[in-house]
Amino acid sequence: MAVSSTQVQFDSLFGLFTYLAIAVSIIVFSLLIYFVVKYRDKPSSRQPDDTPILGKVPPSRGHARSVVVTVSLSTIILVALIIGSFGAIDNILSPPAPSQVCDGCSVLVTGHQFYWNFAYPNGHSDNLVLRVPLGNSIRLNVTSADVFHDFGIIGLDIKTDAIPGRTNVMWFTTYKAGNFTIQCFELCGIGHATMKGILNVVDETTFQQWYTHTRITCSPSSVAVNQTSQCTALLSDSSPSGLGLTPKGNVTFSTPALGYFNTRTCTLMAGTSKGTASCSVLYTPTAAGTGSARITSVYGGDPTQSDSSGNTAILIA
Amino acid sequence: MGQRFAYSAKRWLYTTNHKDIGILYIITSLFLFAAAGVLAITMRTQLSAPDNNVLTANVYNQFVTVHGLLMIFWVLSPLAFGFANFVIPLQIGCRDLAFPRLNSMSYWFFLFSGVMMILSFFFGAAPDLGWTLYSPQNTGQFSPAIGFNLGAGALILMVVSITMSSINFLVTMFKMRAPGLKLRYMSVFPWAILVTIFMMLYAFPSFLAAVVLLYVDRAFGTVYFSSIQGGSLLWDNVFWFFGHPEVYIVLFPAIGIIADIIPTFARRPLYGSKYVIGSLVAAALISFVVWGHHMFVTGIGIASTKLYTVTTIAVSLPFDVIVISLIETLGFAKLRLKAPALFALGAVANFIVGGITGVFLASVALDYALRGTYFVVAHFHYIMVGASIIGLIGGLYYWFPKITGRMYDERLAKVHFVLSMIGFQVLYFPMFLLLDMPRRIVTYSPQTDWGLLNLTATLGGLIFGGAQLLLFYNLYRSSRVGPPSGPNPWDAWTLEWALPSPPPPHDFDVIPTFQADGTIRFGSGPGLPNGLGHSNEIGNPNGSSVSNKTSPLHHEGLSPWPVLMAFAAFIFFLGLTIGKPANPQPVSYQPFWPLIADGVILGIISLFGYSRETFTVHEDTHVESWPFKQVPNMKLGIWTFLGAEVIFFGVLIGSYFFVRTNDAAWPPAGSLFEIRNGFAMTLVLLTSSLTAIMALASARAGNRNGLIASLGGTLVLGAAFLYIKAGEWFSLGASGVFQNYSLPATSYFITTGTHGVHVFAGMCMTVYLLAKAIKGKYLHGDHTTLEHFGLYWHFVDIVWVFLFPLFYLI
Ligand code: HEM
Ligand SMILES: [Cu+2]
Ligand SMILES: [Cu+2]
Repeated sequence: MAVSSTQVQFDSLFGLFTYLAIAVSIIVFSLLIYFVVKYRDKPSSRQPDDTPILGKVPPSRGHARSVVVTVSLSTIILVALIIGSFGAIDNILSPPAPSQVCDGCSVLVTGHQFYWNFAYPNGHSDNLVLRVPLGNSIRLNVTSADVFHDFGIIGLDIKTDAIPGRTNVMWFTTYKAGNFTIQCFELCGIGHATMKGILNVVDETTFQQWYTHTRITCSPSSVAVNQTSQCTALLSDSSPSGLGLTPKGNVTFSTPALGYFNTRTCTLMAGTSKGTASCSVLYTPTAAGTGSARITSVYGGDPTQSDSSGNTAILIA
Repeated sequence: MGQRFAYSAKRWLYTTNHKDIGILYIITSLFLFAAAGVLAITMRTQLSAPDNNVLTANVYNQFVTVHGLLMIFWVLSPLAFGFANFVIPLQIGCRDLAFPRLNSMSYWFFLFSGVMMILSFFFGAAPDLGWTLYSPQNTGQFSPAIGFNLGAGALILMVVSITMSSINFLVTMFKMRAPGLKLRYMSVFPWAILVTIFMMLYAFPSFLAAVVLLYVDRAFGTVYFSSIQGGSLLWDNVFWFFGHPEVYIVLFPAIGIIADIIPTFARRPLYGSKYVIGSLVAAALISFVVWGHHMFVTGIGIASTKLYTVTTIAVSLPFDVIVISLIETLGFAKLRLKAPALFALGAVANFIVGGITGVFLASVALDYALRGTYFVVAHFHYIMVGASIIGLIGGLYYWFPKITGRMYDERLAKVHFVLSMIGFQVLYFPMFLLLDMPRRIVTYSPQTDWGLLNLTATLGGLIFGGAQLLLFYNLYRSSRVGPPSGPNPWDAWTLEWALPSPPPPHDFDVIPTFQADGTIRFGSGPGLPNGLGHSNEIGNPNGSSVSNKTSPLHHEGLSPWPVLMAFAAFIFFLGLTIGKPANPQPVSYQPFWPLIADGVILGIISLFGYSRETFTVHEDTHVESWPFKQVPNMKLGIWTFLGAEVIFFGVLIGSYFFVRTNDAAWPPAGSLFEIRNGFAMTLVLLTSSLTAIMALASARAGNRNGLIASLGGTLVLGAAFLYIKAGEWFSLGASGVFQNYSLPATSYFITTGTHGVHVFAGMCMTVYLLAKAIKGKYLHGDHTTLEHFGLYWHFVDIVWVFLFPLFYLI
């Protein structure tokens, strides 16, 4: 059963190579075995009349024709393989633009000794699970924070190197829901064998619910230095059953920018519409910095709800 | 007894005879084959079941790395060059290599480098990131163990050994062939060695440059590989530019052996031998433009990957021709299936599988799935073990009677063949099916379905490993009690079989001559010197004992200096590498000075001894030496050496370009280094070339004062160059610009520093020449040494002519 676009493509190309390889092997090995059996030294064997003898350079023999035939036949096969490969590589190396894939389908993957970090546009970040929607094209920007790793997904037949200072783009379309093993394919140190992750392909509504179920808004969205903005995290139900259960627990806020929160965590309270909850904190920037402050809210989940996070930016005048 | 032991120790330590050295290479590499094999079997045991814990990840990573390095550099090539040492001079009809003492030195460098690699286990940790030593994990920050430095030192010593021996073989094969022996009369083995040497000469300098840059990064905190602009891709390029030719370097000698064994046992000449040889040459050339297939998924861009796909697939064509020719040789043959033939045929079979799967990996599209998996492991083991090792074992059986004068046990050898082939397939074929499993992992989870295939592979490994014990037993026992083999047990045609087994120390009483029709003649008589109708036969007709008649031309040929020199280098590098870290961040290491000092002193003593020793190498004048007829051996050797230097500097300069193009903010010309300084140094150095030419002219004219004056001038100008350079370095240092300051500083200090070391070496030579000139040498037509020095000195100057604009003007 088809797992992903890359797997389908790999299977057909690998199939082509394998058929031709088997055909060529059968021909060559039959020839080899036939000759060995037929011309092995038996009492009845005839002594060849051009046997090399010590003290004389043997005369050269062999037809250019044989070379021409070998090379031409091989070339025909190899050209077919090249054409097939070029078609496939064009596809592998033309990922959709970030704007062409769904929100949350473009993920930054960073290799670390010894785990993979997945960072979504909404600020959600995870060191184990890469969750993506079924039936969508997924675009991964792969890089490394320390040494040379290689990001590969077993079963999807696709991988790419994770190299510090470089970003390699990899993409595929998911055809099948379920979990797949992500593993590092370049020896990167002691933890290399266990440098794994999980690709979790879920149906689209589940994904969207999960992906968007933390939303964060700050108002005003543009403030001056030392002026306060209120940031609200709004959570919607993400339980697998989708029964409209209300998320409970705490939300934690953070920012890399200079400034302070009145409190870093707040406790969720049920909202007016079914299956929603929210809570707020106050943020005050103390320096303009880069001109904006990225605020991230992380919800750790509860027994019925998955974890999630969201982020937004406040402009600082 | 004691005396005999002392004699034999002296003989083996001091020998310069190519046959002895060949035997030393063969035995050493077989030992290391066993050692690296033990590592492999241990790893296979660990992998036999999921979640196994025979080895920790830490130890496993060291094993997997050292196993690969040992097998590639210290087993495959040296075993092949052991054969080459023993038989090439015999096959081309000369009495030794062009530079016998250099040959001995190559062996000892090789041995000590292997010792150093193994020692690395005892200094923290051996290298543990795979034989490819990827960057930036190879930098001090991620691999701080001192053992890694030893590993790097070992690799440098090994490259020195390879460079010396490839120069030696090249000169020998181009300059010392028996009269009338045209290159096209050579069988495939010498051809394969010749092609291999060329690949070594052009590939290894790139590796040397890579390891040297790595070493200075680790020792002096330069930032070639720890910077983003250099980093992973710089290493990938310089490593694989060497790495791909290297995989052919370890394969070609085996192909040569196979292509000589099969015709011999089939009793027919090789089919299309000139096409086979042409294919080797073609594949060697193409091997320098395919390295990108190891970088398919690094993101080098769609156009380059397509190009590398085409070149890589194209390189399989010459191999097709070789395989088909080998098979066609069997047509209408009378194939005697003795052990050498069995191993050669087995190697062909494995090579077919390895080659075909190579084409899979050549497809960039498939490589996006297959990279880093056991499919790759299977592919290259089919080539390196299936074709190379199996082929070399064929060579071992083939030449065993020639080397020892005794026959091995054929029955045991056949059992060995069958078990090896079965073990091999059971070991490696399952790995093709493990095309999802990452390579180089210490363990895997039980949830995967990899367990059974891995268990199978491990069983195969035990069979294969166990089978090799038969080989060792057979070789050991047969060398003592095997029946005398006679000079030519296989009825082969190549020249080594014309001599008794084993051949006498001086090989040939009379140098053979090749007639225009390809007949080989010894002296005036028609016979062969092996007891087959030769008038003044040497030794025992069955050839089982060494003749005690020594040639006047080749005395005992013992020299203590090569082994001492190698030992000095070993101590020196040990001192350089085992020092404690001086600085934690960035890591840099403090050398261990006492050992360095010992190494330098011993090195100077042995260099002195080496040059004073009267060791005459006979240079025959009637030999076949196309295409270098007019060039004396030594000069050709120096040319070749400088050719390797060109690649070395080329890679240094290439690395500079690489980091520079990747760096958006390179300081503009003139801002970092004073153009004035560079200009002054250029002027000084060019003038010194002039004085070097004048020195030679004065010597030719017999003008002693002119000679002394111009040599003195060269020395002073060299010193002036270094003085300005040092001034520049100090003023940079004073303003805080050190080698670890930035990439521009790193590349400047290392590239010009390396050049400066070359200038310094040239000045040492000048001092030596000057001392001799004052004593009145070189004036009576004995000025060749001056000529050689001139070649070197001009080369060093030309390098500067490139460095000046690159670093100062643009
Ligand atoms: C028919 C010709 C061959 C082709 C087309 C071919 C192709 C390739 C390709 C494309 C790779 C890179 C795979 C990857 O890393 O993803 C590879 C790896 C390798 N090949 Fe070949 N190959 C051929 C012959 C050989 C020969 C003759 C040797 C050795 C004697 C060899 C030894 C290796 C080794 C050692 C590697 C793995 C390097 C590493 O990553 O450690 N190959 N080959
Ligand atoms: Cu990794
Ligand atoms: Cu390659």
